[in-house]
Amino acid sequence: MNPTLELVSVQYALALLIGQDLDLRIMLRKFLPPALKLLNCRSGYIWLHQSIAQKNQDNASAPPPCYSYPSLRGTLETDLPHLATQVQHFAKQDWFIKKPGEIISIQGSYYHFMPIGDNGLLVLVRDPPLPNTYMLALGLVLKRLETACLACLQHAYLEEARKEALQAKEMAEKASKAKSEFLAMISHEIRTPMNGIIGLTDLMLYSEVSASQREHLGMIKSSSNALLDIINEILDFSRIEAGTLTLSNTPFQLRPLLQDTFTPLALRAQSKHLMFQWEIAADIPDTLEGDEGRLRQVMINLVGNAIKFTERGEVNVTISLQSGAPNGQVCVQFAVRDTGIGIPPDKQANIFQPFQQADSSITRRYGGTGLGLTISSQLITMMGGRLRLASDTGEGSIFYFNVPFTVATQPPPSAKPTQQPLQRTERPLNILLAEDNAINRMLAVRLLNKAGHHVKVAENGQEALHAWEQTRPDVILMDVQMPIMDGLEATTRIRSQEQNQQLTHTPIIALTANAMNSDREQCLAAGMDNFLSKPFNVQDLLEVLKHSCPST
Amino acid sequence: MCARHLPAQLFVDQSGTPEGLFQLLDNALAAGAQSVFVLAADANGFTPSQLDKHLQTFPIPIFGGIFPEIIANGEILQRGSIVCGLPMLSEVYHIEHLSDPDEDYFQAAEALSALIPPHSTLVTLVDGLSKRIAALLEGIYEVFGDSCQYIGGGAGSLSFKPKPCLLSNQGLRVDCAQIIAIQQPLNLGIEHGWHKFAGPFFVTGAYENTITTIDYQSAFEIYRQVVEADSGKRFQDVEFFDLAKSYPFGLERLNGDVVVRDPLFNNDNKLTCVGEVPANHIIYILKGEADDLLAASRTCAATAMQVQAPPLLALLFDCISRTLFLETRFAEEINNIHAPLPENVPLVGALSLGEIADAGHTCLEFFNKTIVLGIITQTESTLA
Repeated sequence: MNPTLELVSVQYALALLIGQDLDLRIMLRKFLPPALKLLNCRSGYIWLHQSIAQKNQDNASAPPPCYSYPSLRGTLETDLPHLATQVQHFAKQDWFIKKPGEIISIQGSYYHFMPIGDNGLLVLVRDPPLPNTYMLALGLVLKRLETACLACLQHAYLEEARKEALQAKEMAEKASKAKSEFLAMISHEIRTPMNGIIGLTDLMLYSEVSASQREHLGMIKSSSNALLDIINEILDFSRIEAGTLTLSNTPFQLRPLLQDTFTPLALRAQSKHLMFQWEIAADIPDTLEGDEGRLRQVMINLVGNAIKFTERGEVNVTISLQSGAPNGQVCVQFAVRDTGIGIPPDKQANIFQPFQQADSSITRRYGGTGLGLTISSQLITMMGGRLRLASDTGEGSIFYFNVPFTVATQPPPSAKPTQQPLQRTERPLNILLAEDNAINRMLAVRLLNKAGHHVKVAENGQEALHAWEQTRPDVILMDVQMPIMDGLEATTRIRSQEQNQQLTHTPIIALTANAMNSDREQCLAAGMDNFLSKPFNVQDLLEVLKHSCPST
Repeated sequence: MCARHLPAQLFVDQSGTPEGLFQLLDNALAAGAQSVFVLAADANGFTPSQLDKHLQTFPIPIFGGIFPEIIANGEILQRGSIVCGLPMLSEVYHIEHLSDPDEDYFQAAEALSALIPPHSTLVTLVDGLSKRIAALLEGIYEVFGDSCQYIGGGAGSLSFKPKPCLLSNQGLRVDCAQIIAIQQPLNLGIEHGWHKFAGPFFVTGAYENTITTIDYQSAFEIYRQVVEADSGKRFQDVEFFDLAKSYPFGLERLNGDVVVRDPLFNNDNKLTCVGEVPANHIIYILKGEADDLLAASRTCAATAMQVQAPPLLALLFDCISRTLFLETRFAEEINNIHAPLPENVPLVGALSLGEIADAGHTCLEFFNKTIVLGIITQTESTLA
């Protein structure tokens, strides 16, 4: 072949061997062996200064190559002592090598010491030695190799950093999960006695009591509900953090919702001698699709805060239509303005962070978990909007957000029946109640008896299973966490027996203080038919019973 | 493989029957062999069901292969078996999955490094129709480097249909490599006699042992144009290999050398070779003259015989396609190799699908269309 063409073609082939992987060892392994074959070499060794520096090599021994073909079976000193001496010599003179390289005869073979740019050394062993023209041509190739090696080292560094970040993230997620589990557990522990307090209060309110006793019972109920709100806030927050909170998307009527929401808030404002006004633009459609309950929660939080932090003046809510929504959708802006204490500019950035209030003195003065705004902000984000704030200290605040809603084509389902006094059922049921907590057991029995149902009790899953085998109740109310045998296992066994013996299906309703979504899924997966979290509203319980045991 | 005072003994059967082979094995055992090297001709048609039971119960280590043709001293056998009884135990190792694109043979070779002492001679037999033989050799050389010497070749059938072709104590094996470590030194001759005829070309597309494009065009089309123009024959009129056997590829090595690659068949305009062809490599189309090839065989024997110690055994791996090319004159090639050997040195060999050898001043390579002659000599301790 024409020598020029041969030179260029070798250069071309070598250049295409470079950079075939971002892992340094793999990249060099894909480069060096075929390069050695192409150049008719016996072996090759590569050092990179950066790798050597990282390993803190002392000058007492020659640094090992970062890649060699063939690989060393021992150390460089034991396998190739003459090469080790020579490399150590170059290392001591700061890796200075005459360009395009130095050829040194060692024990009958020619060792070609060639710089890899400014960052490394390639040693080729070849007999006969390479012509000078090839040394010069190789210099250009080795500059490209230098770039590829540096890219690999950089990649390794980034990979290491990425792995560390991932590990840190995993640890943080584990910690967060542990926290969520802790919150769920604490919530369960609080909800169980709360169920007793609220239920027994309800029970007493249904009985003959004096006016002052009724007033005191009303206060107990209101305090309990306030405590329950706090627990619910903590639960919501832990669900949002764990990513398990999902929004529903059903048709609802905006105006009645707002009316319902603002009526008690207006009373609260009135009690502080504040003016409370709300206004909804006429062009906003009546029926929208979204999560009615969560929208209510956000409005209660924002308006509730406005009333809480305003000592005089007014609280205004404006709901208006924004332009730019796609066909079939509307973009609604909700703005809550107050003339309260306001929020200093330097505190505004943190106001949506959990456990933050503008000032610690505020916590002392006004109370609250500090989670309300965080939850509202997150809920609004999940709805597709963003909660914003404009405020000046002493001048009041405006919290506002835009949320897109689909305009509903279907009417919303009929409104829930309003709270009714406890009425005796027309169809008494034989109910098996499995509940380990004595107070809750007594409460449920009393309420259900009052409603006209017959109740048999079991203190754990095993007793419930036995009672079911003996009496075949119309329905089972099953607590989940019980000693000896939990509600999930009892349900699984009942369902298994039903299937094996072809028995009629007994409806089982979970009654549990576990309020996480995953708990509901577990209950349904075990074969339960419905789920009611404690503390429950007696009307809700009767509704679920009615729904689960339709009259035939 | 060959101990002091006890040279290897050759036993030859020309019937090509399993019984004939079993008789040779019994003869070798009776003669005191500690392990046996078996070469069988493909025309015997040996199958696992015929041999496995006997091989699995054979009491001493057994290794070897089924090759298109085999050589005992100066004689070429197209049918039959050769058993070389060795006066010492041999350790036989296997590396599997020789066509698996995801297999890392460095790991497999590394696992053997503790078992094989430095300065061994590694007789390396492979299934010649496996797709990643060069990758295997790259892994073996990466681990053992120039601390060992290498000789071997590809077993298999000229029908180019993969089938079990390596003999072991586990039976016949396919798609694997067999590595036998011996402690006697080796002196090698490696020659082919082919010369560059057309090119250079760039292999612009290739995977494993298949070339898809040359100079960004269909590999077969480029090859067809060159070969048909020179030979005056057309591929559509003959079997592909009948014409291709005279025009192998040469992988460029610096300063004019080439490593030969035999194109075996045209598969949808892609050319499948014996052994890998790397992408982005420079190749030539080679051509040979009978006299040049025969001259190469003389040079090969002369080089191999430049030994420092008395020779014990001559081991030959000569590419089968050289017989197809040289035809009746191939006997001259074998004679060129056999004649210079001392009378007491047996020549055992195979006409192989690819040859393995370490030229001494380059890395370990997988060759095609090449003669590899290894003279195993006594060690210094044997001489003492």
